[in-house]
Amino acid sequence: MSVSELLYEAAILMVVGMVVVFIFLTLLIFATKLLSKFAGQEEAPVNNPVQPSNLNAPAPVIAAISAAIHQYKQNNK
Amino acid sequence: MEGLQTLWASTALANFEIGQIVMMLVGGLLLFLAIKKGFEPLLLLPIGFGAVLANIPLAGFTEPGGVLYYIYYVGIETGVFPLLIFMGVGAMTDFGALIANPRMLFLGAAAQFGIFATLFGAIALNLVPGFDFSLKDASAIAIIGGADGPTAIFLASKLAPDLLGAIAVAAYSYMALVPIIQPPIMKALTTPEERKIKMEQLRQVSKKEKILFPLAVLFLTILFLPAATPLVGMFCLGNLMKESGVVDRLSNTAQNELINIVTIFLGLAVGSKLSADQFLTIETLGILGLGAVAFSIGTGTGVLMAKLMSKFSDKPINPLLGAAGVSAVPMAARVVNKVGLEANPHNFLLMHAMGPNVAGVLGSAVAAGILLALVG
Repeated sequence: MSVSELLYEAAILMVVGMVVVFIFLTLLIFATKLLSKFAGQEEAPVNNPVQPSNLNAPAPVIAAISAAIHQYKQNNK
Repeated sequence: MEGLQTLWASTALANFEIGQIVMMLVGGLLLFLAIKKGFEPLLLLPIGFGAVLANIPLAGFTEPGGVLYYIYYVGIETGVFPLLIFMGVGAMTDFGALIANPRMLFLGAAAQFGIFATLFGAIALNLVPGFDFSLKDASAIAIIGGADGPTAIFLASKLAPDLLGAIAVAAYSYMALVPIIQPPIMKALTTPEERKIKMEQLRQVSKKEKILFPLAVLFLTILFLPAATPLVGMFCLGNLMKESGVVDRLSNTAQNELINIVTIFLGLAVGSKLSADQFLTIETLGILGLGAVAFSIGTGTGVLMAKLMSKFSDKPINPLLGAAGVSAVPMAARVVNKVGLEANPHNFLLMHAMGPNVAGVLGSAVAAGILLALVG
């Protein structure tokens, strides 16, 4: 095969390849969204009942700690 | 006297060819990069050592009967090793970030342009005298742009086994160079304001979603792209083992012991392909060059796609995330995080970047499937 023929084939491959990759992953996006619709809700973030603490920490400190814990949980789940 | 001559003839000194010495030096260079520079040491160390062993005169490591010959024959010619690695990678992958924000799959798709553009580039290189790449060769070289070692080895073993050594070395070297190659491209294509964009907190993903996701991926692959099922199938198996939570022993084996064992053999087998007659060619230089181009284009199109998406999106998207669309998990995501932190020290993009990062793994597996279906 001559180089120009090969180049033509490569160009076709490039277009077809990118189109197929995009179509496939777009389908996967829809599939994932569908999945989230049906399987996503049931496990709402569990709100652990706050344990009554006998520490006399000031309210802002408790607020800061619980905010940090919340963020940590969000980042690590 | 005759005895002495026979003895001399049985030493390596009498039998060294210049090519073998050069290849041993290449092996030594890989060992140096692995040990001293920390470049993908898990692979470059066995590859480098394999290269040294394969070039010992008279030892016959790579001839029938030699250990490297059989390791290659059993593991790479059959495609088994890269697939086992893929299973392990699947068992290590957390799709949570991607499920929470599935649009990131577009970034994983866009970054695959590096692969297909390089395919074109490899064929165009035929215009230079000394290069003669067939479509199969070009496809195998182009997959370096997927930044995924096992995928590159899998495809090369199917399409262009004689180029496998150079392709594998290029793929793993560039993966090690991600923190050097990507940032300049990312910075050139974005403004400091864009790099500072903060992303919304990702939502919680339920266990059910995580279990169903690999099955959904597999289902779509079965329907539309069976050629990609070896790669995607093994990947999904590993991921399902992890997420199902009922086979922790298997999941742990896949992501620790098994992947380690296979990595040793895979490295040695790739190293055995670093023989002078196959590696010391002008084509190897071409492959190394094309690999860098593939990587850069993939990074660039990923970033551009992210910019495009943020134009049409109601939620803010930091364009740096696009660079994570080339796979190279988790290195590319870390690079995104680092460049993002440089622009805004309070902006942690790591979790967000894991989405496009694992999308890139899927994307390059899909691209490999397409190349196998169309060229193989």
